[in-house]
Amino acid sequence: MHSLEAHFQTLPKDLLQEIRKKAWSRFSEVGLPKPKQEAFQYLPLQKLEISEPSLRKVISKEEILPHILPECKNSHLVFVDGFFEEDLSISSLICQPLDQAMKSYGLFLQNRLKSSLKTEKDPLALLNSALQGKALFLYAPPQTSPEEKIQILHYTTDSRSTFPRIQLYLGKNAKVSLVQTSFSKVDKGFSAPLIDAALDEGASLSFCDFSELPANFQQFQAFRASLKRDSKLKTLTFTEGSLIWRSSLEVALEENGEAELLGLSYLKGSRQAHIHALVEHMAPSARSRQHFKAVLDDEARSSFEGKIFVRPAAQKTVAYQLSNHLLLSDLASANAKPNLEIFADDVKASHGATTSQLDEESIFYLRSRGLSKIQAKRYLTLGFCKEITDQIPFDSLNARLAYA
Amino acid sequence: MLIEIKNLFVKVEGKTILKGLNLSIQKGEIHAIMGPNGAGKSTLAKILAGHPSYVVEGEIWFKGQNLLEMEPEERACMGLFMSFQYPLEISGVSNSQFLQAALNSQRKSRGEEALSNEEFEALLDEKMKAMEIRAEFKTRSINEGFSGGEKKRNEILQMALFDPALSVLDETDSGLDIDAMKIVANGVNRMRKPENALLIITHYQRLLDYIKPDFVHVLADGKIVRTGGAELALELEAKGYA
Repeated sequence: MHSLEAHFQTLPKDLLQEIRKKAWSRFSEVGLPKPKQEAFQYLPLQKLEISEPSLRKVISKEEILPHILPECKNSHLVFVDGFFEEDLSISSLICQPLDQAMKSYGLFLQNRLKSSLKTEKDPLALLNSALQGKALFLYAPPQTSPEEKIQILHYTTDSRSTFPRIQLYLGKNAKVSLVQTSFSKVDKGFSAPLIDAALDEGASLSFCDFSELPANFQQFQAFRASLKRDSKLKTLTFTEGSLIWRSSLEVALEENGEAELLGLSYLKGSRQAHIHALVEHMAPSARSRQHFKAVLDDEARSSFEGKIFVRPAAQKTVAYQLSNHLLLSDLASANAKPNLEIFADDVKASHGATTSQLDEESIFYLRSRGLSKIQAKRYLTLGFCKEITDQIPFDSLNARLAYA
Repeated sequence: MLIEIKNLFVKVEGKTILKGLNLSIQKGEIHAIMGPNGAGKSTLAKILAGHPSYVVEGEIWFKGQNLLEMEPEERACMGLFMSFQYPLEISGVSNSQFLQAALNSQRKSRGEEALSNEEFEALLDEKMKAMEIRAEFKTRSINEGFSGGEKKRNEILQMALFDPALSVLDETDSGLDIDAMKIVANGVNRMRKPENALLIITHYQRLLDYIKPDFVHVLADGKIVRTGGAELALELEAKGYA
């Protein structure tokens, strides 16, 4: 905590200073996650270790090139140790460091940052707001829909903590597809990235988060989105987990908005992945669907805490939530906690959670056709994942699923 | 001798189901096993395929090798095929992906080269046409959403692809209407070769109208109690097992 505060004091006195101060004071009130808090009860918090925040480092384009997806050769945004690097990035959308963008889009951004901060309860998201490195402002003007998918790469070079941040704004009817990947050169580290997205009327965002981190990494990521009327969001969270890995997704829907939150955790060894998802229906006729799957082998652990919150005004809401867990080992364990809070009376909502093991009869069926036990199990596991992996919009990522 | 079953005793959950069963099948022969419910017919089929949940005593020699020491996949690779009475539905794995992997696994074990995608597609198309299975079944998940008859046809399609030395058909006729049964029977008959053999497990005589057995055995209370020619099936149909 002390090194974090010391670091906070050294941050520049730019246009973000006021926001940072507010965030720091909110973080100081809330404090670090505690094991007794419901939101963090399944996390191995005794291992939580936030190292001193990293400083900016210059690296070459050549160094990051191998980590750019083939589909995104001409559209990628690169963060190095939590700092957005304009020189390493290329995009047809408007992308600028957030402190610069505060000059040209000041009013909009001030309002957005303040209102996000007001509702934020997650300590690590608050810490991100307070300690953010060079943040990125990404803006798709109204009616734009770039053909290329845009990659956000988080490139980590040392084990100090990083706080990458993206302020994303989609204008009316803009359509954007983003994929976030991460690469770490070191096997230990701490990162608390945050994406804050605002979608104007009729906008559409697809966000695919592909997390392949070293086993000892600590990751607390947050995704926040507010959707104006008729806008659409689809997120796909794929993770292999790590020492501590948590993703917090919160989405607020206005009239006729649509959100689909999908996820697949594929965990081996003693890796963990914990997902928290909240979909808030603010206004009538919005639709949402959450579907998270997890495969757990060895001594892996996972938790899913999903919530659907329907405000009194949100009549004609349709909201679904489902989590499925596949346990491949007796030592693996999964927890699911579905939550519905509904304050409107004309609502269709459901939730469900399942935990299963591979079906022995199915294994026997496949083996009786000549497949080895290992092959049979792999096919069945892939079959379990397919519903989600089918939704990955990138061939190169699909091919990378090492277990395929 | 293709397969020789000697004094087979089988237990599951403490209950003895087969009690000293003996059966020998030569290449080129068709054997039918009939018998009342609960006699142990399906258990015999599962034992031959290597189902893991049974306690087995006795001997089974297949192509001169000790079958009981082999894993289910090793038995398949040696040319033993069992058509399931209730084929499993497996979601997320496409029928053609599974069939190609299974066939190539069997070929590999025999030291043959794996079929390329094109070669496999061509073979599969030919066999599917013969079994009157619609092309869309290739991309569908294994048996998922298939009707009972479609599942059985899919089993016989697998038999046609694998070209096994011994095929054990466990109540393949159950759940089939008369047209579907003819398609299945024609498929089975087309595959007959002097070096292959069939073991048909059935409740009713009607499938045997289409696939004519050389021997009919009656399995009752865990043992073969009677053996005869094709005419025995007709007699059983008329008089029952009692």
